[in-house]
Amino acid sequence: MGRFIVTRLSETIATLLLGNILCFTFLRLLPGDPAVAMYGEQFLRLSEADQQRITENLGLHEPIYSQYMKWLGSVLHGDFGHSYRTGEQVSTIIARAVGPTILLMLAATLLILVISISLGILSGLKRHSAIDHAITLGSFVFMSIPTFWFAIMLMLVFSVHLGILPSSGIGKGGLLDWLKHLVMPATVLALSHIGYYIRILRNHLALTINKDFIWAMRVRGLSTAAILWRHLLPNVSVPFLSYVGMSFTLTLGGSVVIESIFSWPGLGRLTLDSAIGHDYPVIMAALLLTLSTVVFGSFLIDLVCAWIDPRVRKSILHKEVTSR
Amino acid sequence: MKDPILSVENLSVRAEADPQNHLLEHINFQINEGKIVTVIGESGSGKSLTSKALLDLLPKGIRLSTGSVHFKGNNVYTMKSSEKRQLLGTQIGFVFQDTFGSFDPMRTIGQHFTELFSAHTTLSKQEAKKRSIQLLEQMLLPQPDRIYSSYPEELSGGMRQRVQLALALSLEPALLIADEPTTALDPHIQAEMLHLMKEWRNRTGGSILLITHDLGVVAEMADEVIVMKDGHIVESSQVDQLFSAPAHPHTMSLLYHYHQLLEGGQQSELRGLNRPLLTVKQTSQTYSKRHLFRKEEVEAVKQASLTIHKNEIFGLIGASGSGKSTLSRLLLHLEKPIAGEINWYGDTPVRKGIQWVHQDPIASFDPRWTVEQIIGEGADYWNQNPQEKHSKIAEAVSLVGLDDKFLPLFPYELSGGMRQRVALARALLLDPELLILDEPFASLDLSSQSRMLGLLQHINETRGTAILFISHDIRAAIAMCNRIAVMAAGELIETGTAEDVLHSTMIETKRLVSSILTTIPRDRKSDYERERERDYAYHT
Repeated sequence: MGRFIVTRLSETIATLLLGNILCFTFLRLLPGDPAVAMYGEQFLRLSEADQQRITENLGLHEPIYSQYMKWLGSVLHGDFGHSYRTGEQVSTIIARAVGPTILLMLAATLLILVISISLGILSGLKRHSAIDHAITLGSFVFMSIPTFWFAIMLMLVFSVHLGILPSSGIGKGGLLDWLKHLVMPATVLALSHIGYYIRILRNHLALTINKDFIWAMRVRGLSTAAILWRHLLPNVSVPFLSYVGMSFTLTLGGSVVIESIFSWPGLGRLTLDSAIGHDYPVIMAALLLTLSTVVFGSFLIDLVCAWIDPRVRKSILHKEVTSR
Repeated sequence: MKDPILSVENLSVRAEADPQNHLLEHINFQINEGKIVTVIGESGSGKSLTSKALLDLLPKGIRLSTGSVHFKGNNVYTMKSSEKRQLLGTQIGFVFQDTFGSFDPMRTIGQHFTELFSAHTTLSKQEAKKRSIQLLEQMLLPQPDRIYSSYPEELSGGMRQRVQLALALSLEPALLIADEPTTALDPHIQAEMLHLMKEWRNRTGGSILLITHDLGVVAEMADEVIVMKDGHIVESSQVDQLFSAPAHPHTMSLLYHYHQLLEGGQQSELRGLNRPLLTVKQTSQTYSKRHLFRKEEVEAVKQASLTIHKNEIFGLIGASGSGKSTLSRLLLHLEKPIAGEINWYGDTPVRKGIQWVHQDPIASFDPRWTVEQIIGEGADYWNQNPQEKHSKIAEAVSLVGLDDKFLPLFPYELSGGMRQRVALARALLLDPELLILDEPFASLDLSSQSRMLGLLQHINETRGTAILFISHDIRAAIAMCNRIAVMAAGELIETGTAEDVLHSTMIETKRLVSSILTTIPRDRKSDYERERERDYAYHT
């Protein structure tokens, strides 16, 4: 186990570092100058000496690798720098945006799990029935509708015509108000990904239910409920969970679009705004946070799978190597 | 006379999709207390389906059309589901052929037991554990406590099968149903399993319904025998009567093929073995296995030396895990040995001259290729023109006794025996001088085995192809091979003729030989009967 954690941890750190370097480099390759974005047209009217002074103040005149080393150095000291646009501490900005994103992700994930587990089990157990076909059709429809279109349609119906749900923002306190703001973004985010989860669950369930050991359990006179809860579902949960771990990235990526449409003050929208404004320190911090969440998340899911499934646990504990 | 434990009356089963076609028709039989009844038949004869129909656990899409099954006077098909669960759990035990698939891979052996006890008894957890370990002990399993807390994949096939038996017998059922319980096992483990089942019967007076395709198992175990063919019972009689005076031609054919396999002439050593084809000198292979902190070296092949001559059929025999497959990989140059050398005509081997037939043909076929594509693939790599390729394929196909009409079919449309022939035809396409057959009979029933054996001998005689026959089945090796090498724990412990091996003094060899099941006395039959059997066998 110890060795597993050490290897996985070093892999994780390497992934983070590599991902960071790539982000940093590609950001600098973006067309446009942060100084221009900060000062607008004004900047171009400044004297050359002033322009150079501003660039040097931002540290943008140095070669890219030394810029990166400096950034990494201060990040390791817990300093993410200041925003180019507002001059505010980056950590303050990020901290403000993290809360709403976590809320949105939690709500969406909860919806995904509840709906996909119940519908997935239903359609896996009743394969090729009318209800299975209906679920399959429904999940394909939601998988193929573009998110932004779906979001706009919901807004049109519930905010414009019916006027029962607010179309943007996060609300100003009060649980009910806040829930009202949360419903639409969370639903859109969940529904656009839910089809994959249902398919995975349905297919693995259908595979497992035909295995001999399920038959053996029936021959031993165990009740259907016991077989479902003690044997079928645990066996299906491992591939399902590893998919949840992988697709977390997709959901997180999807939140960028949804946060922008619903003006949800979260990380996704912050990243997009900062990218438009060439606000390098903010983007880098947001990207680092997203990257770490994904990498540590999948690490965590691996541990959970190992905890559930003895076979995974064993392959982690004893790495079999054949060599000559 | 007492009432039978189980009585089946006029049972017919059909597929929902095709109501005209009965999968099982008019099945009638009874199992009396304390009796061992075996059901025998070739693959696809409806043996396993019958066992499922007995328990009202038919697969989806297949249903009972007429008939009834009574267990101790109660109709299984009209029971309430809770009653049926109670019946299945406590009165009937079931053992499957597949030792791996019949366990939940995520639960320990112990959890399988506790679940069963908590569903049908009022035993506490401690009592259940104690009882389970006791049962495992009865199955002669070493270290029952350790097995109790192991996961299924950590046990060997033979151990898992004994655990299955322990599970099936744990609630002292009146009837044990075993569906090909020993087919996938090494012969000496098979003998142990059969012994355990028989011993259980003698101890408790329970009845056994044993499904098998192996007449050797029947001879060893049965009181009564039911012979099935195409969903019908063709013959049902006492075991002595079946072997001495079979009534139905199909039974005769089964017996003929069985004898053919068993004593189809022990082969003698070929004279004039002076043209070595493949020589293996002092060859070793080691694998390393890494555990948590230590590294373990496994010597799969130790200092093996052997020579295979032209025209020879050479057998390589040993229990699973003895290193046979590793040695065959070395011969094929799929792996490099860590020591020693392997020569082909005194030189490095050329692949074209050696062809290999995999033990599981379906696993070695691309499922989206037709038989013609599969057989012809070899020709593509040796740049033969289409005309030549076509005639080569036709030749190979006719050599293995297949029809041209099989060429456009896909592997899944063929039976096990046909698939093995296709694999053989593919290997023969390039006129190899040496054929390596890795457990070629493992997935075949006895009649197909016997036909395949005849075919291989025919190819060997007419074409002079040398054959390396790798198997754990000593019965088949004795019937077929000129010389036999016995392998144990990575070492070639002896090499000799069938005669030598049968009278060997080596412990390992003796153990292999002793696992051959009771042979059926053949002499009791008149020559006339034997001739009739042979005629029938040739015409089916």
